[in-house]
Amino acid sequence: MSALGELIDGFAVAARPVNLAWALLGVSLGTGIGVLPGIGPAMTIALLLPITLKLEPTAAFIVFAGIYYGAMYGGSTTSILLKTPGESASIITSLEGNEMAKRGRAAQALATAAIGSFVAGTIATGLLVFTAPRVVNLALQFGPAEYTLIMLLSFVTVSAVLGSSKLRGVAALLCGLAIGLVGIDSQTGQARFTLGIPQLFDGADTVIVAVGVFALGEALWVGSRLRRVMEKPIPVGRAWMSKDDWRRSWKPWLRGTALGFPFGTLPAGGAEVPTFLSYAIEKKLSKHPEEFGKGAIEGVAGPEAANNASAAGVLVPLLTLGLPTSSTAAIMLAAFQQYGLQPGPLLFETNSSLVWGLLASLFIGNAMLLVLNLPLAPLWAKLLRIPRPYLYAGIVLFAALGGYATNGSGEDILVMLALGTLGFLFRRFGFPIAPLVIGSILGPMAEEQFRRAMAISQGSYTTFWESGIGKVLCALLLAVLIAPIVASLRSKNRANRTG
Amino acid sequence: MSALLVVWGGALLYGSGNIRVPRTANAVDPRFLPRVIGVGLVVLGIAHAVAVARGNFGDPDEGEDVDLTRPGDLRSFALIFGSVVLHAKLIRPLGWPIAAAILFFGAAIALGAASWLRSAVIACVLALATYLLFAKGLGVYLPRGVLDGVLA
Repeated sequence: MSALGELIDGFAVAARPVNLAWALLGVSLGTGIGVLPGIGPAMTIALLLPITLKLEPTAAFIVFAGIYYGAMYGGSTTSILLKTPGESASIITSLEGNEMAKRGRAAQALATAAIGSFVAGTIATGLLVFTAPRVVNLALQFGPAEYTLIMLLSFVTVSAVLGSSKLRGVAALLCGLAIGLVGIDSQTGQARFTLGIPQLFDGADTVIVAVGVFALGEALWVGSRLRRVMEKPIPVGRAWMSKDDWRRSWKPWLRGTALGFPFGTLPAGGAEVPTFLSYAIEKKLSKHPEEFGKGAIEGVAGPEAANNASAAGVLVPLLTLGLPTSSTAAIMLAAFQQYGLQPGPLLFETNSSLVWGLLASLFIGNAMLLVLNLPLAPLWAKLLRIPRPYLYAGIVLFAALGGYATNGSGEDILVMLALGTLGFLFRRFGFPIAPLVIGSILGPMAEEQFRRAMAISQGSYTTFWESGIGKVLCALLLAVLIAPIVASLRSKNRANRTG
Repeated sequence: MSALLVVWGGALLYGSGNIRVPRTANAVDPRFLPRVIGVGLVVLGIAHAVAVARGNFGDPDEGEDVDLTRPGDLRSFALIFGSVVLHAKLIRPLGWPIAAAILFFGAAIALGAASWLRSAVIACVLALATYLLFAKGLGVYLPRGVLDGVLA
C-alpha cells in the first residue's frame, strides 16, 4: 500500500475517540511539563514508562507522541517568559524571545513560536511520512554488519562530535556501554557483571537507568545548587500577532523547517546546530539586521521552526532503523522495547497500525497544541510559579514510584539512587548525559549485531566493508572521525600564522 | 571523576576474567567487549586526570533553576539521598503511602521549603492521591502496609 493509504488508515486509528483523548492527555502533559523548568521530554517519558505499562501499546505511544511534541511548545514558553534556557536547542529563543518579551512583545513572541512550531511540525511530519517508507526499503537490505556500522556511527557522533569535550563525551559513552553489559549475555547465556544478584540477570532495567540518571540525577543536582532568588516570569496575555508580524514570520518558518528536518534525521541529531544556523541565516537575510539581539521576530520564528522540524526528523532513524539520535529518542526506544517491540524496518510490517496510528496522531497532536497554546498561554505561564522545593520533591517522589512499580522491589530504588548519583556526578563535572543513556540502551544491541556479523564472517573484519552500503558507512565513519582532527589542526595552523 | 573511571574500567577488566566462555562461543567471545570498554575507561580516566591537571575543567550543567555562582550544597544532596534510602527501606514495614509522604517531606525540606507544616500537608495529600490514582486507578501494585484496613 502507498504511504498515503497507510496514513489514512493511521488516521482511522488515531481518530478513535479514546485515542483522541489519549492524544489530548499527552499534549497537555507535554506542554505543562515543558513549561516546568528542569523537566524535559526525556525525563517525562522516562517517569511515565512504568506507569503506562498497563496501557495498550498504541495508546501509550499516542501519549508519548503528544508529550514529545508538547514539551517543545512548553519549552519555548519558558524560554520566552523566563530568560533561562532549559536545553541547548532553546538558547536562541531565550535570547531573542526574551528580548521581545522585555519590550512588551511577549504575546507576539509566543504566537510566532507556537504557529511556527505548528507549521514546521506539520510539514516535517509530512516529510517523515514520506521518507520513512523509503528508508525502510533501504534498511531491509541491512545485515548485522551494516547495523553495527550505523550504531558505531551514532556512538561516535553523539559522543565525540556533539558536545564541548570529546574526552568527556567518549567517557560518558563508555560508562553507558558498561552499564549495558550487566546481565546475561544474549549470545552465549553467560552472566556478566551481575555480582551474583539474580535481579541483575535481566540487565539493568532501562527504566531504572533512565529514571535514575534523568530524574533523580537532575533532582540531586538542582537540589545542591537551587537558585534561592527566583527570576520573575514576564506576565503575558493571549498570544496574537499583527499582519506585519505574519509577513515577517512566514519565510523564517519555512526556512527553519528546511534546515531542521535534515539535521534531525542525521545519526547525530540534535536541534542545536539547525537553530543556530537558522538564526544566522535570518539575521543575514533580514531587512532589519539591527533589531537582532534586541527582539527581532524573525530570530524567534526561524529557530523555533528549526527546533520542531528536527524533532520530527529524529523520528526517521528511530522508527525505521531503531536508532535513537537524542536522549528523548533513546527513551522512546526503551518504551518500544518494554512492549517487546523492536523499532526498525520490520516494525512497519508487523505493527503497521501502531506505526501509522502514531504518525497520524503526530498531526492531530500538533493541531491540538496550536489550539492549546495560543489562547491558553497565560494559563501555562502560571506553572512557572510553582515553588521549586515542591516541584523537585514531586520529581523525586515520582521517580521512586517508577523505580518501585517496575518490579515491586525496594532494591530497585537503591539501584536507581546509585545511578542518580552517577547522573549527579556527570552534571557536576560537565560530562554529557546523552551518550551515557544512548550507550546503555543501544550498547547491548550493538554488541549483538557486531558478534552476529563476526560469527557469519567467521571472525573476519572485512565483512564490514564488503557490501556497497558497508563501504559508504565505513567512509562516513572515517570522515566523522577525521574531520574534527583536521579542523583543529587547521585552526591551530591559522593561529600560528596570525600569531 | 578520573578515579571513578579508572576503577570502573579496572573492575571490568578484572571481572571479565570471571566470565565463563563456553566452547560454543563464536569468533567474538563474551569477554571481548568488556575488555575493550575496560581498557577504554582506564585510558580515558587517566587522560581526564591529565586534562583536569592542565586546567581543562568540565563546565557544570546549566539549567533554569541552577545557580552556578553558589557553591555546591552537599547538605541538600545528602538529605535527598537519605530520604530516598529511608523511603526504600520503609515501603515494606510501613506501606507505600506513608513511605512516600516521608520521602516528599524529606526532599521538600532538603530543597529549602519555607514551611514545615505546609510541606507535611502537601506530602500527605500528594502521597495519598498518588496511591489512589496508581494503585486503584491503574492497578499498579503498591503495598498498603500499616494502613491495611484503613485504605480499602
